[in-house]
Formats: sequence, structure tokens, C-alpha cells
Amino acid sequence: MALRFELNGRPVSLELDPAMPLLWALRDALGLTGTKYGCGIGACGACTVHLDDEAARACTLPLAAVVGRRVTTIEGLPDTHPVLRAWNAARVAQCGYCQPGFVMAAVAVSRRQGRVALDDLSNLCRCGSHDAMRAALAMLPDGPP
Amino acid sequence: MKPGRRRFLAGGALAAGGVLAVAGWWNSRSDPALPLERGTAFGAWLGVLPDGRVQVALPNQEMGQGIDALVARLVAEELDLDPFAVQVVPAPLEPVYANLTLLMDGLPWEPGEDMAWTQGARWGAERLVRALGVQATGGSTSTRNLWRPVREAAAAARARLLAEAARRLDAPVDTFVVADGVVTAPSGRRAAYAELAEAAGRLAQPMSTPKPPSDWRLIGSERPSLDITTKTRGTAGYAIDVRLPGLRFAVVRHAPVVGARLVTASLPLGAEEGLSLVTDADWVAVVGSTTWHALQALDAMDAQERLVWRDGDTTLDDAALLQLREAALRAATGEALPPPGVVLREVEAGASDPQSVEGPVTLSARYELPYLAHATMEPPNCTVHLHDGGCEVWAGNQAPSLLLRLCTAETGLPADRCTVHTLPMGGGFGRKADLDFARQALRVARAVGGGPVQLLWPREQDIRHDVFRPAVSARIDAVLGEDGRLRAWRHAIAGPSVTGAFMARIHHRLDAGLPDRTNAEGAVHVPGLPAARRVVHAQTPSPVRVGYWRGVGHVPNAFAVQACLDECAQAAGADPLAWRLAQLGDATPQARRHARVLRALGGFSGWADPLPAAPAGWRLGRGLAIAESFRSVVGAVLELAVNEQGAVRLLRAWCSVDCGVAVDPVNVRAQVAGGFLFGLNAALHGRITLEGGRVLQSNFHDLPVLAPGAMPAVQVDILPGEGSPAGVGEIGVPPAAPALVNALHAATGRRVRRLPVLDAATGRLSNGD
Repeated sequence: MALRFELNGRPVSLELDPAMPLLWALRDALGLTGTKYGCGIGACGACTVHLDDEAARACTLPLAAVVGRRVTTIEGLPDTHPVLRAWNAARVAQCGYCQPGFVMAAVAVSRRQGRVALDDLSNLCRCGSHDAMRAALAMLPDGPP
Repeated sequence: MKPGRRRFLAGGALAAGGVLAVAGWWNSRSDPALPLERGTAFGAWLGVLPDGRVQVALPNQEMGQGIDALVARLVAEELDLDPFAVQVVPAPLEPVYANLTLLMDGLPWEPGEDMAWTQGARWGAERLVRALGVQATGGSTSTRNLWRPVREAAAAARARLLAEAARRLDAPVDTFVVADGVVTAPSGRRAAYAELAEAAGRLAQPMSTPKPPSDWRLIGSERPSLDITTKTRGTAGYAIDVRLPGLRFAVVRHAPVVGARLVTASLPLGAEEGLSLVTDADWVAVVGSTTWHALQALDAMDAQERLVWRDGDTTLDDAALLQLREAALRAATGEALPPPGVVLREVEAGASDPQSVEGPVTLSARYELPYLAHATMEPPNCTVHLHDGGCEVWAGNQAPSLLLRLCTAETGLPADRCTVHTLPMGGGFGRKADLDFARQALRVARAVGGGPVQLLWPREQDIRHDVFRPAVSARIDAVLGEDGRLRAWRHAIAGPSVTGAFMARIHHRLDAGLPDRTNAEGAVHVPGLPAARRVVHAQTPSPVRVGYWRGVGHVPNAFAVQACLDECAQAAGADPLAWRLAQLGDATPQARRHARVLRALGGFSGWADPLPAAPAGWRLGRGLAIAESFRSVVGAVLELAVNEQGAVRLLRAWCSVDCGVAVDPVNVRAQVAGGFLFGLNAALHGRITLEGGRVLQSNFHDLPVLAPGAMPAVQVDILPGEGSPAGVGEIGVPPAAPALVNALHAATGRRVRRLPVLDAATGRLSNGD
């Protein structure tokens, strides 16, 4: 049975195991590799996507749970998004691997509450780019975008 | 110097001399020009493209250290270009791009030992290293290695471009204004590099030297020199993101017990069609249409007991490994004979023997560091495509030359049929110098026959079967005089040789049992230690695989030295910073360099200022450490809070850095702060525990990484530096652990001498030291 949901504003229909985590459907079946694999247990946040505007960890989110819902990945984020711009302006990325997940997590928080503090994010970064993230978060405009 | 060491060095000189004929012949071949599709190459390093941009070959691999931005900056500086007009491409695998600095740094003698006959050996070794042409990234060498050749190549290209401009614009070179790749003569006539390049490429090379520091406009500036948008957007092109038509996904599962071998393996009942199983001596891989299919199959094989292993060493555990190191330490301090397999080496001897020195205060401290995993955010993975009689490999790796050799060895194909694509790494930290994952990918691709395969180590495999930072034990005995100054220092270190283990993995004949400088680094040539000093390394075997881990030997050694110096200052009843300054004195350039960093740090961190008020139930403390590594010096202060239940909060940190010329200060600050946090995280939580021959940890739930909000803000102060750049990528790590335990002592009065400091079960300070 086809699994239908909205992905980055477009309808998709997949013939896959409904137990398959969204992460592998995105990366291996659909070729959307901006969402990263880091742990597979929802601990690191490298695979953070939006499910109906809320941050969700794609590695532990079965396809069955996204049927009929809106999924946004880093590929679906407009270039002009203030979080992306702030991240680039503050030169946050070192190895960069965890950054799309951080950006998606920060976007979800900013949508909900405007300003984002580092403490609002629970993603993991091994390079230690946290000071630059603080600087990037400080550049975000007040209030929800 | 000991006669044995002298003999070894003399032998090295002869051996190096012996290959000179070959190396000389090899080096006499002219370096190949940078291959360009269009445009004009100016030697091996760079070329001018038809659109006026300049392309530069980067032999180093990007893993977060920002080397791509750095090389763009060096080229843009010399050629007076916008750094964004520099296109960085991976260098071809050719000897001209060998990482001389990395290999020369690895030689078992110190820079200070440049006597006539070691100079000869060095010269020989340099030729040999160049002939070997090893392209690799590690040892914080990227900038150091590129600094001279890239600037010289760019200066040479500029000289030729300006000579052509002089001819064309009919004006002398020294009257030109050059900006953004356009040469303007006093008459106002202009010529762009793109117009000049072809003719300039045919000119004889005029004399050229890189710009003097007074002319630098980019080196040392805060301007960005590379766009990081692709990293932020997830499109930077890591190896794990390689997608090819028909790509299949392989997932690895290793023997769970150290040393175990595979007996049988079979695919699970009801397995989906299209799955393949590949087996080897101590690992299997399942290949499926998605990673998920392969993961599912492996789990089902476990559940159905379809993976059978034998002969693992189930007696192996932390206690047994600790026992071995303790016996080695007793041998190193002369209390017992070395156990079998343990090799003692005196790695430093001062002017007199510390054993005979007495004083009113003696200190003896034991330090313990655990095995550690790298846990790069991008786990090990590699893509292989065997097609049209050739082999194509995509991998984030720190040693593409070794990867090429691996390709030829595994496939039997000649090197010119193998193509290595080295992609940016989602973290390296030393892990991706080892290419076990690439070897597996090559074998899996061969076994399934045709079609591209991407092989992945899931996080659990990455953590359990890593090449670990080895556990290290150390003991320091110190004697202080009436004046509170150090009189004697004896440092014994017990642990395996990482370099020996690494070399043996490249080729079994390469583990020559030579001294490994990384075991001693950070424990020797420490300024401010007394003349009566001795440092001994007891090299132990390691039954588990060990590898290079960011900071390598500096990390355990700086921990022991800097924690013990803090204990000495306390015993002397002195302030740790003031005591260190008094101990350093100003007799040598090295001592003055350290003192300058400490004084700067004192002011920058407000060391003398009172601590802020602590919240109720919390006690605050500030700790200090300083470490020289990779030719840089970093002093660090960490401020933290501890509550009555032993919970620890890291509040703020300050690092003062002398790294010579800071080419890109924004990047230096990011690297130093990042390294410091990497070290803090390891010191707080990092552990790999062995029980029954198995590694207990497996993922970020039982091997935690500090959450963003728990990371202290780190301010980095770069001291003005001259000469050339020193290492940056690893230098923040060594001072982190000692600053942490020294701060804990300041807060609680308790000395923590065993890492990690937090108990795995409670997340609070462990009981006992």
C-alpha cells in the first residue's frame, strides 16, 4: 500500500515498509541527503526534520507516522531563512555534518517562540562549534519570523 | 644522549642515506603541472581559469579544520584576489603534494637535536618522504605544510603575470596597482589575469618571494574566505551522501568479542529478495536496497542466532588492562622488572637523576585515563564502484595515498585504474586515518560483483569497534624545596604505541618497534621542570585496537603534568598561576613564550578577580592549565560550579593562544574553542569500558556528548605571533582535562586524578580519585 504525505510542499507516494524510519526513506529511497544519519536512536539530532512545523528526529520516526502529514527537510528551507543566514554569517560550521539538524531544530524553536537560546537545542556537535552558534542565535530577529 | 638512542639515530641516518639515490632520481622528475580543463597552469599548485578565477590544488583533506578556506586565503593574499575568486580542488595524488611536515614531525627525534649527523638524516628522510609522496592530514600540520609551497607558487605566478603585464602595458612592474585580479598601470591602462595568463605561462620565471607581513591584507584578517552555505544546507558532499545510479547499501557487523572469528553466517528466514551477505574473518556485511533493509536483516540474524563467532578473548576487561599498565608503571619507576611484552624507554633525562634528590615536600600522584572513541558525527563509510575494468572509491579519509594503495592491493588493479575521491569529512579527529572501513567496502564491492556499494558502520559499530585512544596510566613523583620550587621530577607513563599499531595495520612489517614520539609528547621538553628530572615510557601491548585521537599523546601527558603542577603549587602554598610563572623563569625562549601566554591569560581571564557569587548549594572554582603542542602554546582557565550532590556545571572558559601567525583568526578561535570543548567532553564523560572482551558502550545514550546548553562559552585570545603558522586543529584539547580537574579542586578541595570525572550511572562526580 502506498504511503502518502507532503514533502517540502509536494505530495509524495512511497511503496515502502511503513516501519522504515523516515530518515532512510529520505536518504536512500528519495536521495534527499541533507538529513544526516548520526545515531539511529534519536539522540544526536543530525536527522532533525519538521513534522507539521515541529522538530522531529527522522531516524526514529516510522513512515507510518508521517502518512497524511507535512514533512519539511533542510532542502525545503528557503535560502533566505533568517536562521540559515545567521548560521552562515556567524561561520558556525566546522565539519558541518550536524549543522542541517541544528538549523532545522533552531527554525522550529524560532517559529514557536521567536528568540532561540542554545539551551533550547538538544542536538549534538562533536566539533564544538557552540560559541559560533551562540553568535548566530544572537543575530536572529526578535519574535517569530 | 644514551648510546642506544645514538645508535638508532645513526642507523636511521644510514638507512635514509641509502635511499637517496632512488629518492634523488624520483625528485629529479619535474613536478607535473596542475591538470586544468581550461585555463593556464602555473606549476603544480595553481592555475588561472578563463574567467579570471584562480584554481588551487589542496592536498589536505577537509574535516572541519577549515583548510579549504585557508588555502584560498593564502592564494588570494599573494595574487591580490578576492578569496571567493579562488576555487579549491583536491590535489591529484602526486609526490609534489606530499605532507612533508606530518611525516617529518613523526620522526623519532626532536627539533632541538639538529646536530650535523641528525641533519643529514633529516635531509635524507625529507627526500625519502617526498619520494613516498604520502598525502595525508593529521598532526595539526595542514597549514604548516602548505604555508611555504602555496605562497611561493602563488608569488611565482604573480611574478609571471606581472611580467607579462609590464610587456603589454609598457610600464615597470613596481608601478602597478593590483586588485581583484586586475593589473592597473599608472597610465590607467588595465589588464586582467585572465587576459595575461596564457602568455605569462610561457614566460621564463622571474625571481619572486611571497609578500612580507607588512603587505598582508588577508592573512590575519577577520574576513571570511570561503562560503560555508553548503555545510549549513547539508550539501557539502560527505562520502555518506554519495548517490549513484543503482547504489546498494551495505551495513557492517563486527565480531562482538575482541579477537573473535566468524564461524558461520546466513541471511535470516524470510529475508527480502535482493539482500546479499558478505563474510570475512571477523566481520560480515549485509547489502540491501536501503540501509534500513540491511540493518533489519542483521538484527534478524542476531535474533535467529545466524551469526556464530568463536575464539574471542572473553577474559579481557578493564581490570586486566589496568593490571598490565600498573605492572608497567612499577617497572618504569624501577620497583619491578618489566612484565613480558613491556618495553621501557627513557624519553627524557635532565642534567641529574631525580631519584637522589630530597626535599621537605614530596608528592606522588597516579593518573588514569580511559580508552576513548572518536565518535565522528559522520560514522565511517565508503562507496566503491568497480566498473569498466577499474575501481572508483569515495571516502572521507585522512590518507588518500594509503587509500589508493589499499585499492590496488584489494582489487589487484594497477594504480592508474583506481580513482580515489576524497570528500569532506563529517569529523575526523584521527579516526579516518585508519581505512579499515574502506578495505571492507572494497571487499564487499568485489564480493557482490559490479554495481556501486556504499558501506556504513552504524553508530554502534563505530563506538564498539573503533581504533581507540589508548588508556594511559601515569605516575609523577615531585620534590619541592624550602622555597616551594621544584627540585626533582620523575614522570612514568604506561600505555601502548599508537604509531606502532597504526603502522602495523598499514603493513605487518612496518611495526618496527621504534620509539613512538607520541607517547612522550607533552611530557618532555616541558619548560619550568627542574634539572633533576626523568621521564620514562613503559610501552605496553594493547589487545584492543588503538589509533590516533585528536591531540594524541599530548592529551594524557598534559593531563598528568598540569594536574600535578597544580598539586605542587598547592603544596607550595602558592597561587597556581604565580607559582607556574616563578617556576618558568625567563632563561629560555620557550620559558618566556609560556610566561607570555600565562601573563596574557591571567589578564584576559580575570584570574586575580574574585569569583562571582555562587547560587545557593553551589561552589565555584577556577582552574588553570597550559600546554604546548604542535608548536603552539595554549593556556586555559575554566570556571565551574559543583553542588552538594556532585553535579558539575561548566560556566565559562578562556584560552590564550600563541600559534605563531594566525592566518585566519576566526578559524583559530573556532578550532581552539572546539578542541577545548572536545577535551572537556572527553574528560567529563568519555570512556570505553571492556567487559568479557566486549565494549559496553554503543551509542550517544551511554557515551554522552554535552548538550549545547551545557557547553561553557569559550573566549579565545590570540597573541600576536611572528614567523610562520603553528598547529591549531588539536591544540585546544590538551589543556582541557587538567583545567577541569584543577577547577574541581578549587571548588571542592578534592583532587580528581582519574578520568572521566563523572560517574556513568549518576552523571555526578565519581567517588574516590
